[in-house]
Amino acid sequence: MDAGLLLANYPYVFAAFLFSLGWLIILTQSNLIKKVIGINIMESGVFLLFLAEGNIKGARPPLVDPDLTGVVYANPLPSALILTGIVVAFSITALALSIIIKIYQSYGTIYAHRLLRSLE
Amino acid sequence: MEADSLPLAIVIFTFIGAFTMPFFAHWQPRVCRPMALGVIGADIVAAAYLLWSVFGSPVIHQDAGGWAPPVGIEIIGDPLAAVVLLLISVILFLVLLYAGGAVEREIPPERVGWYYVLVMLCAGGMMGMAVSNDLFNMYVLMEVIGLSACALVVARGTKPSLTAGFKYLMLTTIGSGFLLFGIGLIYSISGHLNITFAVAGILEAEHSDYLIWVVLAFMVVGVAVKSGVFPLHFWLPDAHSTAPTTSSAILSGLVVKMYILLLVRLLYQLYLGGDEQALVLQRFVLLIGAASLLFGSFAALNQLDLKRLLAYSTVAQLGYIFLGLGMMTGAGLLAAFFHIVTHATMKTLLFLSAGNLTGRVSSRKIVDLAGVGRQMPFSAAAFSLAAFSMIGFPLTAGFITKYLLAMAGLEGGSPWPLILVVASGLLNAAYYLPVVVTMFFGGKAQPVKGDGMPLNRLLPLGVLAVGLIVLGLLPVTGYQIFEQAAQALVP
Repeated sequence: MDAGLLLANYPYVFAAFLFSLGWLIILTQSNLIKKVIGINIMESGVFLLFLAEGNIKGARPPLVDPDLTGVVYANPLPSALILTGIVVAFSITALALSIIIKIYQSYGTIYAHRLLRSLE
Repeated sequence: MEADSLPLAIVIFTFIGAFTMPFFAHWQPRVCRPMALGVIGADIVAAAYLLWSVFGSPVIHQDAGGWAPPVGIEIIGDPLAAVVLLLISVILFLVLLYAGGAVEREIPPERVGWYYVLVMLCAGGMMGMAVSNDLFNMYVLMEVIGLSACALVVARGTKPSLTAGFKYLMLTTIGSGFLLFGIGLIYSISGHLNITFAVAGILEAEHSDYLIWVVLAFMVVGVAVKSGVFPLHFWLPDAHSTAPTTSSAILSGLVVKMYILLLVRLLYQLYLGGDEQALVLQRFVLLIGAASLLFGSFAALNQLDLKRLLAYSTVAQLGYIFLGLGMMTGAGLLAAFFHIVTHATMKTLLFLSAGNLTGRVSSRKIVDLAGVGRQMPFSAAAFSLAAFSMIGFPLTAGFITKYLLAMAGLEGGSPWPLILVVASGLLNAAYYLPVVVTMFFGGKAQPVKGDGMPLNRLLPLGVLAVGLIVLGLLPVTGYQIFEQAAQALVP
């Protein structure tokens, strides 16, 4: 693999990095709030992937002007999709945080290893 | 009446029902269950009509909002979609029928109305999954299912259900993250989100051989996490066993299988595009299917809690579906579809009757169930019938699945499915028969006449039990429907 190719496509590399970082945080961190943060990092990686796909270097925003010809416009679809994705991530975060509040009320801790111990 | 607009109409109608219910849930919680029953009942009629009209006729293609694909969202009404729609609405109708009086025992009264809202949202999401042919649309619907299913688990608010629900939420989110990443890659390769166009785009693309690899790896891992197949199953037993009875039935019977539909639609089109690389992935799908089948059964062997046993059994039964899918032949797909229907019927019957039995003794431990079969003959008999079907007793639906799967394997020249099916039947016998024996012959409880249960908690069991026998006899028309569903994907 050519290093220059990776460098030129840095948004994709960064998206993959964020994605992997996110799910590693979810799986390895004991603090439940940190897990929720991990979810948001993971989803940000995916959003970055979509946005990088929609962007074209030197392209105009997709507001079509009939007088101009031969202009390249950026692809608006990925941004629209990601808007939905952000709403989904927001609802997951809200649900997760409300469950964490309930867990704290009934167990008195938000650390996964202590929760495991009290379940046994 | 034309059936052409039915697939979308069913989904929209269910969602409208789900979104008007919160008003009632807040002010008139009593109205919620009859309302949900009405909406799902209408869905049954519509889905049956759809199945009747697509059977033997061409597939319905519908453009949502009048935008033709690849721009708009394409809705397809093939026999598979019609069968799944009918399955979802019938199972949910029976579960909702059972829920009266059962939900109130497990969920705080102020939440009961909202519980039905969640059930309806989950129903709408599942129905959408069945008919959609658009990747991003499927992703959004999967999140609707995932979030409402997670809320269905925590609805009880007991300590174990909270942690199980949180675990479920985390893993289902990782799964959908993988799926969305895969969808993003598909979009960047092909420029389409419509599955048909996306597959064509991928097959034409440069380096399509290893691109398919990457994309399908993301998709398969995502689906495997979300549907709870070994080795990514560890959230499933906790979530399904701590949830209220009705939630367990919906989650185990329906929800876990909906994600597989995405895999079916995508995998087969790519594979039939004549791609060699898909073969390697096929082995992977077969491998996780077989591993899931064996591991789920072995784990179920040493469970003391009845609902955990049933949950591990779900892991094992998902293995059957993945085995059928992984064969990549029409016969394998037929077995997988048949098992989706069979397992939904069996597992719902098992969870609902287990709800009756465990409710009587106020314990989920199998030891405590000793003799309860003599006090609740009907519920225990229904449980036993489903257990025999799990084992693969002839004249029950479970036997037909095992037969179809073994034959599909032999046709493909491999004896392994036959061996696995026999082994799994024996393992199922090893963990289901002791439960049945304990219920009927253990303990000192005196026999009583009747179950001492209201009719609405026994009738669904009867309907499901009859359904199992009917599926087990497999009328020719029924077989043709499944055959046509498989043929629509594998010509």
